Amino acid sequence: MEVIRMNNLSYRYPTTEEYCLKNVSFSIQEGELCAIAGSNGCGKTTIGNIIRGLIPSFHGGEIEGTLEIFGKSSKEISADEKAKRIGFVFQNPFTQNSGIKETVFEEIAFGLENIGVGREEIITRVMDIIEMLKIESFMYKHPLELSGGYRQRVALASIIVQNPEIMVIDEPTSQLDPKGTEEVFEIIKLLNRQKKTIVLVEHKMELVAEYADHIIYLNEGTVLLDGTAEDVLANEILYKKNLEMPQVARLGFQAREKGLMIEKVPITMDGAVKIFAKYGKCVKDGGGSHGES
Amino acid sequence: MDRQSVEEKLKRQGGVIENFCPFTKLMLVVCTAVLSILFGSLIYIAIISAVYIILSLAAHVSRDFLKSYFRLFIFFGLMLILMNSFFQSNESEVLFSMGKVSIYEEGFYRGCRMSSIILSVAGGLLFFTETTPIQDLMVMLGNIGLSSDIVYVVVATFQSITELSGRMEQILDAQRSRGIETDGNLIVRAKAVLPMLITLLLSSMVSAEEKAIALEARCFNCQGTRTALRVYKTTAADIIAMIVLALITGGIVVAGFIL
Repeated sequence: MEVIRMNNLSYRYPTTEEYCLKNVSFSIQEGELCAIAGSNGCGKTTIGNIIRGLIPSFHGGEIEGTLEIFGKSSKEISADEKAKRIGFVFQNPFTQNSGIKETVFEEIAFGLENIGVGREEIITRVMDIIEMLKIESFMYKHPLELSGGYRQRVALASIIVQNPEIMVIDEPTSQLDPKGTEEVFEIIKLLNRQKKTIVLVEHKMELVAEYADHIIYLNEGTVLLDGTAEDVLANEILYKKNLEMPQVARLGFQAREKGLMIEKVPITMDGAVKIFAKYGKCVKDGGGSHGES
Repeated sequence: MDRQSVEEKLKRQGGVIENFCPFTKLMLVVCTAVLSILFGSLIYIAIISAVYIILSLAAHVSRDFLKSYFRLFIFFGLMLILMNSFFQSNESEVLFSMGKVSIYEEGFYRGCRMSSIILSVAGGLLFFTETTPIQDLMVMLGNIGLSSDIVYVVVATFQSITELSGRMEQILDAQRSRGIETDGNLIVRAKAVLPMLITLLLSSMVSAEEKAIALEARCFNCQGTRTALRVYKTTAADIIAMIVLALITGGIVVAGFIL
């Protein structure tokens, strides 16, 4: 079932003359992890903000075209409904805390308090989320004492506990180290397994390749490619235009250019190992010194 | 993790004094303020300082409290007495004289009164913040019917002190690494303040916008009834403490006027 549909949407920020999104159209199905990918400044975050409802209500600007969420126009959905049904986690882990809670447990409970969930149910739901995300070890710590990676996990937990139908996650690991990144993506993978609709705004193509079911690839404010991870990230157009793509995919195209006719261009490290291992084996079997080295 | 341990953690954590309701502690501030206005003097300063020292020891917050109270005492308490004593003469009697410097009776007493009020109110508020968890304050403000927006602003203001100090340290480190001198004499330090304040202000503005989005994501602006994870009630100990405070204050006031 389709949960998000954008039709010919164009948008410009109030301080600019030029439109940063131009006639963008796509749809996202229920339960899929859809990545909005592309290089910096291509309009990824803007799309996330539009779906969440922060544009135009919070940031202002001029918008054309339509956006349908849950089968109705986004204009017909109230701000309260959007807040309850569309979760939002953004880049900066250091500003996503409420600023008024003294423990992680209470921080996670904050959203539920705001929507009037009963105390007993709040405790049950927060305990479940803490257990699910394996964050028991710091549940009584002060949110401000945590590292960026832990804070981002708390931010995710605080939204997941509200049980939104769609989660917009905007570059959640851009300020995290590799360990923090891995921990956050474990949570995203978990949500994906639970068939939660996730809109992941991300420019790290290796992560997109590994986790996304569906990719909408933007370039200069327009949709360049729309399809499965393999369709999009192994598309030659990205290589020819020198756009962001996984390093292994670039390696695949370069290998083809050098005459190594691999059957398909890999997009993940595991895929690359499988594909290139065959050729390594061929060389090795042939007794060449290259293969052995 | 079991439910019982979670419930335990959501209760007030602390000793007898910390567990008093914030209203009780605020009543202490009000009582000392009233007494300082009526009976402010050198003896009053000694008594109120002794009371706060004993209370801070009993509440196990003496280290932080006394550090701040001592600064308050030196920079405001003592300064007010000295400034008034030296410059408020009105041709009153000279209490003490050394060369050209004289301490005048009227100025001295006026300084003691002003110092009493400052030390009572500021010391009381200092004691209140040292012994009152921010969650207590939040629940208390909510209980008296303040809107969630106002409660948020008040509580976030207290909390932001920690955040801002942390950010200020980061900015200072960044500026030091770029060669700006932040240590040294008063002029050097003063020169470093402006660029630091501007950076702090700008970064705070950006943070405020992101914080607003984070609050929106947590349904903070949603209409409807809110619930609270922490529920505190006024206990019998609070009522007894309030009555005792009222009786002591009333007794001192009456005794003061009769005598």
